[in-house]
Order: sequence, then C-alpha cells, then structure tokens
Amino acid sequence: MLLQRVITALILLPLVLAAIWFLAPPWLYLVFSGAGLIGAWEWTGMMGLPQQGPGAGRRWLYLGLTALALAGAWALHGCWPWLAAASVAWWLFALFLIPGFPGNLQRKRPGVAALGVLGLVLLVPTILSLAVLRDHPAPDGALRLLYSMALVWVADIGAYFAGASDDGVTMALPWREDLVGDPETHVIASGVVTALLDNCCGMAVWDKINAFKPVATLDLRIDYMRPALPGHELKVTAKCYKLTRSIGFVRAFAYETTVEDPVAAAQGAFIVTAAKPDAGDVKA
Amino acid sequence: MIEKVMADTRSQQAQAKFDPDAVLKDIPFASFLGVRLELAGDELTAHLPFVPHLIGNPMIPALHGGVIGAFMEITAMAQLKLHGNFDHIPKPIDVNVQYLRSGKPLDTYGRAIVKRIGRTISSVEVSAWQETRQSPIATLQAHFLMD
Repeated sequence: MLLQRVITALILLPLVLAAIWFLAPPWLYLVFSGAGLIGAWEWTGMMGLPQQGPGAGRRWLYLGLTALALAGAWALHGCWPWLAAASVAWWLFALFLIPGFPGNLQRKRPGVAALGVLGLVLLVPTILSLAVLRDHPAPDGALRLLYSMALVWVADIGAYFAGASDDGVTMALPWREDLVGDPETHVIASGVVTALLDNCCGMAVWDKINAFKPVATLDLRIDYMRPALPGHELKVTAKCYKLTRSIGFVRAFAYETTVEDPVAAAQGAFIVTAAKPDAGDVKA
Repeated sequence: MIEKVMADTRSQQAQAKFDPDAVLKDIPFASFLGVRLELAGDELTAHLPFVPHLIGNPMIPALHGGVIGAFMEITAMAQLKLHGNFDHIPKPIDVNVQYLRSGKPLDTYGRAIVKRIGRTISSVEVSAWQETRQSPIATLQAHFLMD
C-alpha cells in the first residue's frame, strides 16, 4: 500500500510540477478541475448515492453539476472574493463542528441534498483558489501555488504515518432487516454481533500469522454494553495482541462510529492448527 | 405448602401461555438461521437444521463458530422466556462460549439450564450437540438483563 503510494507520488509529482510551472492559468484550472471532478465522484459515494442500479444516474448528475459550478466559478470573475468569503465561512463553521464529532453525526446525519451542497462548497472554491494563486506573473504565481501545495503535501504525509496505527483488522456489516433480533426496536440480534466478533477475531489471528493455516475458536467472551443502533452499519475491529506457537489471543470491539463508544467487547483465544486440521477436535 | 402449590400453578399457567413457535416467529434473525423450538413437557430443545449457508469453513467443512454461538444465545433467551414468560426479549450482558468440537454439517441441538433467575439479572448455561448429547460441540454461559 505504502509502496504503491510512493510510486504514484513519484510519477504524479513531476507532472503536477510541470503543469504548475508551464501551463497558463486557464489551462491549469482545467487540469485542476479534472482532479476536482474525481473528488466529486468520490464525494457521491460519501453522500450515499447508489453505485449501481437505477439510482446510479444521480452520481453522473452530481458530476455534471460540479462541472457546471466549476465552469461558472471561473466565468464569474467578479464573484471570486465572495466565493472565497463563503469558503472561509464554511471552514470556520466546520471547525466549530469538530469538537462534537462523531456524536453530532450520530444524532442527525445530513440529507443527500445538504451533503451535495457541502461537496460543492468544499471543492469549487478550493480548485478555484489554486488557479487564482497561479494568476500572477511567473515565477511569483507558481511559487505561491507551490508553497500552498507543499503545506498540504507535508501535512498529508505526516498524517499518513500518524494514522498508520496498529489497530488490527476491521470488518463492517450494514444493518439488514432479516438480521433484526427485536422487532419492536429493530435492533440487530446480539447473535449477529457475536458472529461478527468471532469472525473478525479469527481474521485478526490470520492477519497476525500471515500464512494460510486453519484458525479455530477455543473460547470467546463477549460483553454487551448497549444495543446497536438500528439502521447503522456495525463495525468490528479486532487485534491479535499476542501469538504463541499455537494460540492467538485477541481483543475486539464492535461499534458504529468509534471504538470509544462500543456496542460490545470481546476477548478470545484461538488455536492455530497445522496445515491439515484435525476435524474431530477443533471447530473452525 | 400453599406457596408451593401457587408456584406450581403459576408455572403451569406460564407453560400454557408459552407457544414455542410464537417465540421465534417475530425474531427475523432466528428465521435467518432457521432455529426451531421443540417443547416436551417443560423441557425445551432448540433445533438448528443444517443448511449450507451456515458453513463457516468450507475446507473441513465446519459450521460457522459465530452461528453456533448465536444459536446457543437464542436457546438461552427462549429458555428464559419459558421460565419468566415476559413479553420482551431478555438482553444479554455477557456471553462466554467454549468451542469443544468442530461443528459438522449436521443438525445441531441446544438445551439451556437457568442457573438463577432474578429480578434484574439471570444466569443461563447452554450446551449444543450434534450426534450425542454426551459430547457437546460447544457450551455457553451468559448473564441476561431482565428489565
């Protein structure tokens, strides 16, 4: 994963540098807009628009809307300061939202339309400001742009290494009607949480041994802290914190948004058998 | 003596109201697994007929461990409902599962013993077996919240 990122960066970096240095601002804006459209495409996924099927057309519609907004923003020279002001206002508001995350998101998730507007406010002024920074005689404009990009790049690299933690394996299960355990509350059955925890713990051991050997649960203890939220995706993160020659010890949490607010916790011991398992003695 | 008679009457009433099919009918996850309940006198046996989608390890092949755990959890809840006959589903607080043998692609049975039934917490033990009850494939101990 890291290697792939490094290679991508090594190929893309000279291209971006050349574009910043040699392309005239309108053309550079076109290139950046392309990146912006890729961002908009990813944003449609985060908005929750369907990737396939009948609703998939709405993704393309949003892409068209973003392209239109990008073109419009470039055409309306007089509005640039206003756009920048709107962008600054949004980021200040976002700053205000951060301390409440993810609780505020749990209480009320914004609708698709609101997320769509949010995407435009995020993408369009950012892309536009890159082109505006470059809109000075060379080398001044190019250097300004490079400075701001270097800031982002360095912060991003730092965040990657800070974020590459050793949390273990994570699995997710979307809420489903047929997995409900209590028809009154629509809460998912505790057995589903058990099954997901068991499965993910086994995966964590597999991840740790890094070889294709059968792994079987010896025992599993689960504590249920609270019911899972109906309609929410359930995640499980499991870490095999100790592996001996034949036993893996695992700790896992089930949660919706963060491990800090768990639905359930599990502690398990798993036996790692030799390549050919003895089917009579162990469960897989 | 009178108290005992009254307790017996209460438990008979509870059993009269207890319909094993109705208990699981409203739980979608129980139908997803295909769990059935069989009541002989006051002895409740949960039955998990084998279906291929319950396989967890296709190489052995073995039943999914999570499925066995979930099945025993449902067995415990059904047994508690038989004892207490409340309208809602008891919530598990903690569950401890020991896997003793590989779950073969066969029907699985489960029986629960209520160790203690209290006002707020109950304690239940379950064992699940396939061919013979003397060699269980897994056992479970759990605490449930009653309110």
